[in-house]
Amino acid sequence: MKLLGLLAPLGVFGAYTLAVILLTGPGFVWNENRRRFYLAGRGAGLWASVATFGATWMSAASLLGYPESFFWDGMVAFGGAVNGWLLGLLPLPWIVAVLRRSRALSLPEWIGKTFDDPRLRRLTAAALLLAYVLYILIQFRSFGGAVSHLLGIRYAVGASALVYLFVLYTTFGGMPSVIRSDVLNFWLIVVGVTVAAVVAVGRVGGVEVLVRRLATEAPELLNPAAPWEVLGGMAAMTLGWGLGVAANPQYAVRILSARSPRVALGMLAIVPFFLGVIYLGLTAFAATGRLVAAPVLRQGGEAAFLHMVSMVLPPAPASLFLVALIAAAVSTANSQLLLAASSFCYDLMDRWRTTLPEDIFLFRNRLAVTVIATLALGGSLLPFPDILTVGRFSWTVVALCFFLPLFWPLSGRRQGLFEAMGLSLVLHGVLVFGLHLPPEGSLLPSLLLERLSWRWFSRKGEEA
Amino acid sequence: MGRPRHMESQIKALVVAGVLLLTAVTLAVSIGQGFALRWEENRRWLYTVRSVLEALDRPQAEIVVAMLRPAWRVFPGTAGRSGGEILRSRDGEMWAAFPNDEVLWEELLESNRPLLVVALVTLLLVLEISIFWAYAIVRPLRRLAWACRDMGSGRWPDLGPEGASGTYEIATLHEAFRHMVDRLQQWQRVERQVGRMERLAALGQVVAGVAHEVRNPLASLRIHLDLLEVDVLPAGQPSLRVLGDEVDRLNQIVSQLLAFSRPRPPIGGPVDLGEVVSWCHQMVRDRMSRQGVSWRETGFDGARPVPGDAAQLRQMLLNLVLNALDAMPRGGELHVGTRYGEDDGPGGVRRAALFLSVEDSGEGIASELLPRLFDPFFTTRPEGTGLGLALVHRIAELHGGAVDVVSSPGRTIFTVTLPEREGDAP
Repeated sequence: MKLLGLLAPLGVFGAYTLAVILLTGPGFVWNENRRRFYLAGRGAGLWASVATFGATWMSAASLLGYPESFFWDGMVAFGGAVNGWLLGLLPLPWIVAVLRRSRALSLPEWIGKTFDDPRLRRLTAAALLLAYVLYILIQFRSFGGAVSHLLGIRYAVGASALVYLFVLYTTFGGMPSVIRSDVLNFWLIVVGVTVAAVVAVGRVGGVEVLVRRLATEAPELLNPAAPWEVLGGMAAMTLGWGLGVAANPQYAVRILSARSPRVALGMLAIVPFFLGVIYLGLTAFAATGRLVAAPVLRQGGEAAFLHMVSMVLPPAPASLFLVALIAAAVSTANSQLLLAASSFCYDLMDRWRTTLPEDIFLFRNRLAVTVIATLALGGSLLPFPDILTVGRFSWTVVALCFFLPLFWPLSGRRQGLFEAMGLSLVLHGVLVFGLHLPPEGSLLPSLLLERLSWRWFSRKGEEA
Repeated sequence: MGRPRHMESQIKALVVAGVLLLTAVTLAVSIGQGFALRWEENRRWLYTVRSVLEALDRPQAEIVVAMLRPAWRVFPGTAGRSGGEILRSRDGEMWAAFPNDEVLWEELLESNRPLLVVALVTLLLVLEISIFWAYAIVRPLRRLAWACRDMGSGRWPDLGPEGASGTYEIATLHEAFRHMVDRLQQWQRVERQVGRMERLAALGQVVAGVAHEVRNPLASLRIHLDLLEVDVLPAGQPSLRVLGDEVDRLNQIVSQLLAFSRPRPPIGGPVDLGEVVSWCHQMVRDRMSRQGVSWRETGFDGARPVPGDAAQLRQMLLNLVLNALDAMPRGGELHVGTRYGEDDGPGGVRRAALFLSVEDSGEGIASELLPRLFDPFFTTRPEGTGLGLALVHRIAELHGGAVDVVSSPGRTIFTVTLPEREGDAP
């Protein structure tokens, strides 16, 4: 048994990496161009779209942060995070037609053209770059933690640097390679979480026993009658995550890369089913962890959670779960690296976009991916706050940049958005860093200011 | 003969097999040595324990025997336990000891874990590097194959920027291919030009003869129509006018044919292009307002005079402007502009040149029509003669210049290049 415990992590990690390498390799093609590199030539089929959407959706914040959060806040965490994430899915079908009509290769380009303001393109691209570097940092940190735990090596640059093995490779071929690796990542996440949940719940004697024991040993987790301030916080968190998800360019890009609007709509219809299965699995797993490994989890932090995985699960399912965690981090990181590189090379560097030959332009994209990955890797070793806090800040910045342009009916008013967006981002920064408000608490007033000032600036523009 | 194997797969397989072999050998040697060392240590420890036991009675001997675990599995008594090492205390108590291989492997793997991790990571890294390497070698070759196929189907290939072809050997191959394509394109251009000149020469002879023979009867027709105008009754006057107009039109076509087939050499002299442009604007002003076309001219303020024949340059510009107006039946913008620069003169020598451009915002010209645009009698309009642009080309050539066209939907630009100095013109 101990021998299996030693060999299983190495075997599972090796098999996963080998599968990623072999699956992604055929995505490197000789006749590539930016449309293919950014959007897979707009030819992704239904199940490939479902897989890449689902894999990108399940980030390390979901697999690592959510169970950790459930340990402390129980159903409040479920209500805030899971509801928020799924709430963001609801409005996505509304933008399918709008986005598919455009020939834009990136969301900042779409905004710049739709609102006829190149400054908007640069502002949203710069904000996206910042938000994604922060978010990639989270993925790398979780990746480092999972790998160091799985392979028994010390968490340091070495463990995190192994991420190069995956993200640079999968991003090299652009979106086609990302989609190919996401197919594997998605099914690994679904299977890893489901197996972990089934084995964990089985160890405590089934669902009924789990609920009964939770009701007696940790009743506060199941208590929906939380104080008003907690419920208020939960509602703000739900909205914060929801608006961020709805406006997140990595989902918009998957709508653009689908073969047709019908495929995009099909993807949005199928994906919630799998996401629901994964969230339920994570909740059951976290609840079991609370009963079996409460003293360990009370220490807090990612290391304690990873230790709990080994306590709750036998070696093989534990290794599978940790590889699912790695898959979630890798899929989100490579998708966001690609978008961050496109924001920099395609949206911010006008001269590169218009004057460089296609080969050199794509080479610079790959170089940008490497530089951004290195920056994020360096950042992942700094003492940043916990995963969900960094995630919340990134998502709120994304929501401020993309929510109104995507979802607010245009009704002919296209002026003034740049000024309004700039103003709201400044207010958001002041509220979060100056007044230390939680990002999701600052999002709503900032968004309100953006809407009102947009109205004001557009009227002023029309009068002028 | 079977299907040829992919070079990409061969490179990957070779590199990975090499590294796999190296890793396997390193691991086997390291773990094998470790195994042998531990086995030896365990055995020495057993012999030490055995010699100690010979001096101890059972209670103390049992404590010492326990120290053999977990590297050895020790059982009291020897009945039914053959093949093990026999241990005996001073008072005759016996134990059978068997090596515990599982524990030995666990310890070995635990102590070699960093090595295993490094080997795994190295193996994966090498696999990735071999894929990148194979891609870097194979991609330019595939691109070259595609370019050859393109050429085979009559299209000129695009090999991408120079110097982006990887290794020296492949870059050399690309360069040779590029050079071959350049030479073929040049050859094709020359062949096309020679063919055109031969066609024009033959056509010119026929046209000149026919035009000369037709011109005399036309002159006679005109004179007699003028004489008839006095005698014909008022009811017949409109028909007479129609006949007169048609005779004039025929005369104009014949003049154009003669001008094209037997062009007179340009009368040299400084020409004020601004004046040519403004004359041309006067000529088409009414038609422009009827069609809703706006006029824009740039670069003529302070423009330097150019050597040339004013009448021919007027005819050339007018033809270009009329052609632009034909392209914008539902209105648009007509832009006539000029700029100074350099171009390749005869023999590829750089010279100062003037670029006169006429741009319209019409629907554009289909790319397959562009190579034939300046051929005589080539026209897409039912009422066209196909001589206007051919004449433009001829006049530009007579002035030692050239005419070029670029077109996309919503934009067509004709650019006439004229040498700026008299010595550069023929």
